[in-house]
Amino acid sequence: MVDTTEIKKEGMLPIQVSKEVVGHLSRGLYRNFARAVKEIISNSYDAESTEVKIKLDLENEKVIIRDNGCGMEIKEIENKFLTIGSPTPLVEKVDKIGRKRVGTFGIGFLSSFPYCKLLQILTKKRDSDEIIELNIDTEQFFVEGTLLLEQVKVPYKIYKSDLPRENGETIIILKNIKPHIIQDLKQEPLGKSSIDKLGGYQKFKWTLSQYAPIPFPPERKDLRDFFDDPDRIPMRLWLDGQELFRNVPEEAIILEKDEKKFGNILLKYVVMTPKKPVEPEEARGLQIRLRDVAIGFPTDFDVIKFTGKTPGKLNYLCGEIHVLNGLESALMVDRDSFSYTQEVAEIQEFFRKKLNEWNDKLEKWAKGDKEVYEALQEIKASEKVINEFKKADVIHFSKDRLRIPKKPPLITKKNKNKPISSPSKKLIEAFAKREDFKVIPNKDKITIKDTPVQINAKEKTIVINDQHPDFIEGLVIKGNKFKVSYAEWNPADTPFSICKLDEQNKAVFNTTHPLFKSDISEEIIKKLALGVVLIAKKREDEEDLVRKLNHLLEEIFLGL
Amino acid sequence: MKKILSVNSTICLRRFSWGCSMPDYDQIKTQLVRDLWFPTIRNGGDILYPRLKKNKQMKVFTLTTDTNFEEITTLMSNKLSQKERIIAWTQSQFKQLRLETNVSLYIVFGGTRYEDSISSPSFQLNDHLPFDVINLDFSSQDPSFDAGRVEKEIISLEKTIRMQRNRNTNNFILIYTTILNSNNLNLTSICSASDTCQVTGWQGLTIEYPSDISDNNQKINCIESILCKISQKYNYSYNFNKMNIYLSGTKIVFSIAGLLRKSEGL
Repeated sequence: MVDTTEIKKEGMLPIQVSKEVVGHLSRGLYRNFARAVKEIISNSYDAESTEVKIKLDLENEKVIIRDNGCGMEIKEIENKFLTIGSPTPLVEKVDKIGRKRVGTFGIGFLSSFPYCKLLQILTKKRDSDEIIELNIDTEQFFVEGTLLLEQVKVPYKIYKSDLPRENGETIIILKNIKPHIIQDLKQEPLGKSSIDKLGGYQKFKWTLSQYAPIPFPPERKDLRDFFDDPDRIPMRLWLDGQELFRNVPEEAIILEKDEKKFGNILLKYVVMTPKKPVEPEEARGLQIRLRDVAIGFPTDFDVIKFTGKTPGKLNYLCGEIHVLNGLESALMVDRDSFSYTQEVAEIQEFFRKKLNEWNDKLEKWAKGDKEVYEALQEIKASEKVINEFKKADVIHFSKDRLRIPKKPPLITKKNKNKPISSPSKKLIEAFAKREDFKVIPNKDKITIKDTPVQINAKEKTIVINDQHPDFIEGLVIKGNKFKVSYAEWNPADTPFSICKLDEQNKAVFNTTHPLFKSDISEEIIKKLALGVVLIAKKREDEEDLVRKLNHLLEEIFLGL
Repeated sequence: MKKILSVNSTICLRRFSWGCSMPDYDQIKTQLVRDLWFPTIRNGGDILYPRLKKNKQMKVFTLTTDTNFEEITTLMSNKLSQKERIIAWTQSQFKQLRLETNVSLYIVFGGTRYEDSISSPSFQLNDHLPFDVINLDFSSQDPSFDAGRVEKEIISLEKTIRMQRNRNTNNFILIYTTILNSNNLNLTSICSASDTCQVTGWQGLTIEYPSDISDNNQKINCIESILCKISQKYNYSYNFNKMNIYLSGTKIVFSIAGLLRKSEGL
């Protein structure tokens, strides 16, 4: 078919970009002010800076960020810095100081636009004698106007530098910070449980420490040794004169560290726990980092959603996953997540399983610890024993994390199917269910002078010295202390069906008596039964009275 | 009593971007802080705040630089002051930005020379006076070495003392540091500028020296004499220590530090 329609005119029409698009883009990219500042710091990292210093000058509504990186010359400013979206591929190549490039999308410098009215940039390129000053009116991108993006001009000035020629420097000043940001930063702290409660300044500091590519604290040599590349010079960061380090929950211990490959992706990871809920709660889960920069918040990979379980100790877990190779192409523009790929799904599944495994282990530890604490409650020197157990990692959690009642409740279901026994036997029973430590018989007959327990952390064995005075149980009735021992006899054989006094005036309890299997606290039964024996002892009808009173106890507590 | 410390130090040279070798003023400053300024401020602090044994929290003004601000860190670490109570001044806006991020003081002024700004009605320090310690270290302000520089510094010194006096300050510590070179010291300009600042009963600044002084040692003695006279003009007595650091050629870093006390019976 021949087209007979006559062309009257033909040509090309431009796609024009309104200047407000910069506002829309910058506003949509970064969730908060601290993360916007982090983007500027990431640029410093790529500029080979070894030091970045920030000053928050809230009184003068400005923030100064200064680095000692390579700086920029006018051509770089024009072609790279001011060219929005000029991408730089995330190549594997390292720079002069051993770093791989962090920035890739060419939009990092827009991050601060929504938060200030004027952005001033002073930069000196290494081996140059000039300082270039740029002043960007950021406000213009957020007010409606007729200008197109290509018509927006940025004024600049050039000064003679006062720095040695070989030094580079970039100073970015966010001027006229918006009032709501100042207000947020001045917010008073309310607590530590979440970053929103830390107070504005602390929240800002925490977020920078979490996201910026800065070193682990010097005291965490274990983490530095595992993650740090000795050929890479780190970037140090100061906020208002104080050096910041990466957030690591206080006293967090490493549970597991390893390297793992998923196709082309190579990861290094550490799972940690501070043995209490991680605070602030935003730090719970594993923090993914690509080239040292945090990607999104720490995540639990939706363990609850995917496993259907409600892991009770998930909030005790934290850690880091460092992407050593791969994944760069899957990074989303907001730098908060990765696009879906089969490998990403495999990684997520792997860490879901890891968190689940460690949650189960911690729950098991907690259960085991609780039983040990409960067993220890009855001995005098339990604090001494607890400290020894803690030192040898026999118990993992502190007492206050496990909600152990100070005294057993009067009515408890726990007594059912649980034979009563001496404190040393209770401790042995508590360890019987554990897989990590085993109680071995006191073959060497540790003497009374020795410690109540002897732990061999290497062989994971514990010897309990049941002859130690701390394990000798006593009951106090009207100020008189009675030593306690246990035995078994048929309750029907004697009036003293629950308790009797032996020749040394020691209270002997019949562990087979049904009262000890009831819902009533063992301690209450023991005190009542011994009380009955002591009352009857002074009477002529001793045996008859004991029988009657014991029967009364059985009626009351067992409903016979 | 005047105690004179004269130090003959070996000063290392630092190569600057323009190629010539300059004395390392940062190293000189470290020596000044350690041997003269800090002892003077510490002892003066005991007189100003005898009851405060720790945490004197003195209000300090210092002319300083971004590469060596040891006087600030020394005062803070020795609890003689704290960052909220220290105001710094440096002559360049770039140095100001570096200083602000380095020590994180609440207030850092910059972009102009102290001696040029002091006469302005909108002088930045007007809202912050008086101070317990005023450290006018002009050697840190990239001196131009043009003729008339030291004269301007001394004139600004008098204005500083006058401003302190106008705020009814009885006692304060004053430190003045400068670099003397081959330029003559012209007393006529100092005296005439001083005489424009009139004080009831004051007959004018008279100094027993020739109007142009070329010898550095004579300049030092003359500056001491001027400072004592200016102090008297505003009813202060000035008890000071001093330190001279001889550099290569004809240059001397001269620093004088002491307590200005309101004269008895006035």
